[in-house]
Amino acid sequence: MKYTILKAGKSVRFHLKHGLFNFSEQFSDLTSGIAGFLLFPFYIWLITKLWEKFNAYQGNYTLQEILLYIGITEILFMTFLSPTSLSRSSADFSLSLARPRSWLGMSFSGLYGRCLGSRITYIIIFIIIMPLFGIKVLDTLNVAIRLCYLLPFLGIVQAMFGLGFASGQVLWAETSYFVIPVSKIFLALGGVFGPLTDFGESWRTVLLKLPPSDIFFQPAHYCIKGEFYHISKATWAGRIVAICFFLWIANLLFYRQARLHHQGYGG
Amino acid sequence: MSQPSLLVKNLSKRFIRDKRRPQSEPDAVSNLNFSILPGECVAFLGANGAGKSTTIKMLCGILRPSSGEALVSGHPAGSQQANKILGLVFGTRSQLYLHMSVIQCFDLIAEIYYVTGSEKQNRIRELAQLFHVVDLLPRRVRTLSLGQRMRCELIAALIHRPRILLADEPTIGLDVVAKNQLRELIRRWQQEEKTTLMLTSHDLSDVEALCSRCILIDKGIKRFDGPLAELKGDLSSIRRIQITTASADRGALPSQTRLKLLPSSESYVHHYELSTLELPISEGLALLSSHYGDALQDISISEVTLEEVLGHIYSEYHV
Repeated sequence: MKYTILKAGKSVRFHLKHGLFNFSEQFSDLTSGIAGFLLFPFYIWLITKLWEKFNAYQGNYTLQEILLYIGITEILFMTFLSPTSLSRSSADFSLSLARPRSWLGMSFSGLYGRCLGSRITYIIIFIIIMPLFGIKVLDTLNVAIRLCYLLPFLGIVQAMFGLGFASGQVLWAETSYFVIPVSKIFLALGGVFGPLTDFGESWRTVLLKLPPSDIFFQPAHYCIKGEFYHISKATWAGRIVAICFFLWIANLLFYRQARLHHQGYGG
Repeated sequence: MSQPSLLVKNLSKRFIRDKRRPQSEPDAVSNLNFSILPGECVAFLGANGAGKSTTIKMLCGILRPSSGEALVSGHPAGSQQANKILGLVFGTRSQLYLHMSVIQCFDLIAEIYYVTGSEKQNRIRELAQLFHVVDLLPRRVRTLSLGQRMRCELIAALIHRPRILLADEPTIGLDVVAKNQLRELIRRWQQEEKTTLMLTSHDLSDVEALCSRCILIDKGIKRFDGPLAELKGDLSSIRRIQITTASADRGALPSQTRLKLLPSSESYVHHYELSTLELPISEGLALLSSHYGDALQDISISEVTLEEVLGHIYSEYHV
């Protein structure tokens, strides 16, 4: 028993280290993400302008809150299903079969670390640029800190999604053409363009029940307002656990299939 | 007798591309049998598509055999115990992380193989000194030359003191100097740690420099398993003599039964071939010496290269 606990402890320590390695890898090549960093403020400005145009101040958010909201959802969206991370995980698949650590575990901690690393980079940019849009520094910091509370949980969902796609990449050789449609679905249904609260009925009720709202809209709403929209913290956490559970099962199936299919590749 | 480091029994692999007609696919590896003892250096040779890499991948668990068995120091290939004692170097695939420093990569790879704490630090230091990469440790992998990177790849494969090293074309793409350096390092390391080495390479100078035994496969079937010298067979008795004459006017010694004149593109250089089984080299040299007399400026003798031997064998099998 003691040995098992010790072994589990060492394994957790390794995966934390692996996560940290991938986290720091995000900061070691910032030039490759420079386009995203430069476009980030532009997206915030553009989507806010669109929201202003179509919503005509009829919504539940002030203009300042909308700027912050778009900033948060863009952070979450621009780091959602990053092709680089997915390629890295699937590229490591073969080699991991010849190593004593499990690919699922290593890919999970790797994707988790990468997700946190890139999101923290964006949060730093967010803190710098939001005052340029006229947002008070204190408000920006407040929102950023709330987002930091949620990042560990959101990172799990993100890593699980990534893992599924990475296994898929091994299973079907190429899934990059899936990544964009799936991202777009989450973009549209998750309220990345504007808060779901501003959507008309019956769409609003339906969209609020779907997983994309728990990943994008609810966290952003929490960061701005300090509470989730019409659900408690426990309910949100429960929904995130349910999404993770579903993704975990899907990942196990995908991984199993990917391993079998991998046998089909030549020497 | 000690347990073999690698034991392969009736190993076969068939890649099924059409599930409706699995029998129509040929075996990439067919009923392969061999064993490698601890400390042996064995070359695994074959033309492209012969099944070398497929076999290596089955030995390290990347591919599962369609039938048969592969054991790594008694453990089934691909099991955690087997993977812990295997080291892998793929010339065409890096295990290092481009954007991270060399030391960070070593640190992580050591932990992947459960090497931690002071043992890890000591091992990295020891290998960095042995492979002359101490100065490279803080550098990012992307800034290394191919030769430097391959030395680091080798360290990454050896950090956990593997009992067996599987090296799949480790010198591919390297220049002559880097290749020689890497070979010398592998040889020195192998002598120090008495590790088993299984090497695949199309560069036969690697094989001659590092291995005493070779296994030759063709279309997944083992064709030869034995000492390198034996692979050459009758060709090992062939000697080629190159004569450089002082003057282009000096004619060559016409072909005889036991001493053949080979075609030459230069009029003052003549090539001959003899089999030492038919004509001792001393007699051959005496014949040539008496023919050329004072016109003989230089003489060199060479054996048949492994490349030529394999080229001959591959053409026999219509590869």
